[in-house]
Amino acid sequence: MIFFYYISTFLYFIAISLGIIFLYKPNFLGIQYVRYFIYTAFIFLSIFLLGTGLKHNMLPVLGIFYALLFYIWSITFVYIIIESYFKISFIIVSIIPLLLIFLIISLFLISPYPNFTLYLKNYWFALHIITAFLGYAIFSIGVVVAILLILMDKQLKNKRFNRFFQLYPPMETLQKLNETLLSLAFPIFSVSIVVGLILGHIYKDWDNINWFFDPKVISSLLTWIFYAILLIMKNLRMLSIKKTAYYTLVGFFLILLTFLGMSFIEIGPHSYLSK
Amino acid sequence: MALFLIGLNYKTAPLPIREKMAFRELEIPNILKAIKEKFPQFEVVLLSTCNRIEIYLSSQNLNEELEPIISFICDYKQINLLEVKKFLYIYREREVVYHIFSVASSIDSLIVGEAEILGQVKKAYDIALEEKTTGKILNALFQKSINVGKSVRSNTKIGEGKISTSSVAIDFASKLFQQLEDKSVLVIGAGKISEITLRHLIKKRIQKILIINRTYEKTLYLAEKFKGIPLRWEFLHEGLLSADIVVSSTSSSNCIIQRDLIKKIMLQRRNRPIFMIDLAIPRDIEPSVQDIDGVYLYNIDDLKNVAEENKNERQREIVECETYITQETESFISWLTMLNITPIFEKIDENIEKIKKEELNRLFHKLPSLSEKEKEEISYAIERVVNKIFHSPKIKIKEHITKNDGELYLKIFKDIFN
Repeated sequence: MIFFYYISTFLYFIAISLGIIFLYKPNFLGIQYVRYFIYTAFIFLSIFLLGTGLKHNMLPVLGIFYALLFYIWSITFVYIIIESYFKISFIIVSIIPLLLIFLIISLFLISPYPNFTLYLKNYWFALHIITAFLGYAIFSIGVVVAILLILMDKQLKNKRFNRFFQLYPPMETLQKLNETLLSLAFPIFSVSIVVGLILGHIYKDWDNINWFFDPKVISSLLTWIFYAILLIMKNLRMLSIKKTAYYTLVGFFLILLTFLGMSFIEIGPHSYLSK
Repeated sequence: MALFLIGLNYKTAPLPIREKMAFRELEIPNILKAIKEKFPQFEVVLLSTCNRIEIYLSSQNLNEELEPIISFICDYKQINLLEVKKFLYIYREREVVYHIFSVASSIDSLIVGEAEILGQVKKAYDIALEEKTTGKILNALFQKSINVGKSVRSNTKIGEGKISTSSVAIDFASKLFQQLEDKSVLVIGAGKISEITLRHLIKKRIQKILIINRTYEKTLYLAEKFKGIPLRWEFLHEGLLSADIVVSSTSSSNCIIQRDLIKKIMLQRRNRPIFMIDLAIPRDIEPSVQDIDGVYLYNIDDLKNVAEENKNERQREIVECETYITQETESFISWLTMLNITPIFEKIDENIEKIKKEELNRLFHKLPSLSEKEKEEISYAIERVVNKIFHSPKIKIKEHITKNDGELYLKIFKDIFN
């Protein structure tokens, strides 16, 4: 099964390389080649995760290695949906750095599937995880879009244009995409938190765990509050495009803290799940 | 097979002459048919744009007289030959190939890197193809020139970046807004620059144009002319509130739009971005407006600098384009010369065969005692000798075809072997 992971990683790296070539020589290589390799890598990663899930009869997200892979899978999945709807080819090149970082990290964390408790083999848990990861993925792509917005704004303001300027989609397009992503991610993430709270209540007597003082739960709630405020301010148009983009970056920092950071704190019940 | 070009363009002929000689698209099929009827030995393609009128010809005869064709066209256009002749250029062979490749690549254009010319070359070829006035040579030449034009555009930066200030401004606005058609534009001022700007905006199919000026009569005049909405000067604030793009070009000696006004406007606009173009000298819009979030301000110098930089970039690309075009020209000339060589080699082979047969007949007649096998061996030996003698010259000619002296070698070869 790990063979599919290696193939997938290899294909992702080819896609990333092609994406970098496209940035410097857009006429030399069409962006569709990057897309083909990403799609193929996605298929192989799906096979690996599906196989692992079927083998252990649960969603394959336990341990930091599998969690990272599921996150990479989620980002790719969300990207495929966005691209078919928004038709912004440049996005694929923009998410490449994100994929690259997490793929490289995953290479250092390869490990067998951890032991787990039967408590985690239920649909509530699956729903909690899927919505959490989808939420993370959408927020992550949102941050890529936010970075593009900030770069475009800087270039238009300073009238100094880099070689990629002509490749970027218009700011209005990026702004609409960013707003859509925030509006989509927030309810999905909210569902994850609500289901997580339900799970915490159901399993409050499991191994004497107090879910509500888990660092990841607290961090998630803080992230949720942050995004709620951001969305309210955005909808009331209290923020400029640039400020919304910067706050999106702050939100992503909170996402990283929640998703990755808290997994390395060895207190609380989520830390058990991350090993 | 020979190539010729008769033409005049913006470099050699003034506008009145080009206007007299130009052909509208609907006229071209008729003139092509007329030329083909009068001069059936030629393949013909006519390229007529606002900046050039060029007739491409091909025939079997390298030494064709072109004067009759020039006279014919002048008669057709009812223009005095002497009036036009001094503006004409006539190219032959390699010059024709290099020229059409340069034209299709837009490096011979008034605005280097312009996108329209490739389409115009293609259109000219399509019309000639439809009228059946092309043949093997011009088909190959124009198909190749279109490919060269496409390659140059996709592999170099010759067509990148806008080079007029108004198109640079529109370009930047297009990087801010998804589409311009549904945006509203406020034009401040009713002078010549505003008129030019309005013409560009109309081309971009912008639906909502607000026009404002201190003198309301002038505002009304422009609004009627360009189907805009006139605003009285006191409604400047409202105009700024609703516009997505603002173009200002008044003759005011002071700034008419200050930073504080824009700050207030942006709050009321709820942070909707605004693109402002200040074409006035002295400036109409206070420069510090640029620092406000969501405001993108470009003055005439900003636009000129970008246009100039883009122009320079295109100029730098010309060198690379010329190198590529030279390579492609040589490649095409080699192909053309090979095309010329093949019938010559065939003719020589034919002559050799004839001489060989005659001499063998004479020999066998003189030596009747030769057996069939002996006759066979003698025939075979003579064939081998002849092939060996001519093999090396043919190889040499083919080698030199790809070099500049290929045509010379061919000429000498033809002369030697009559």
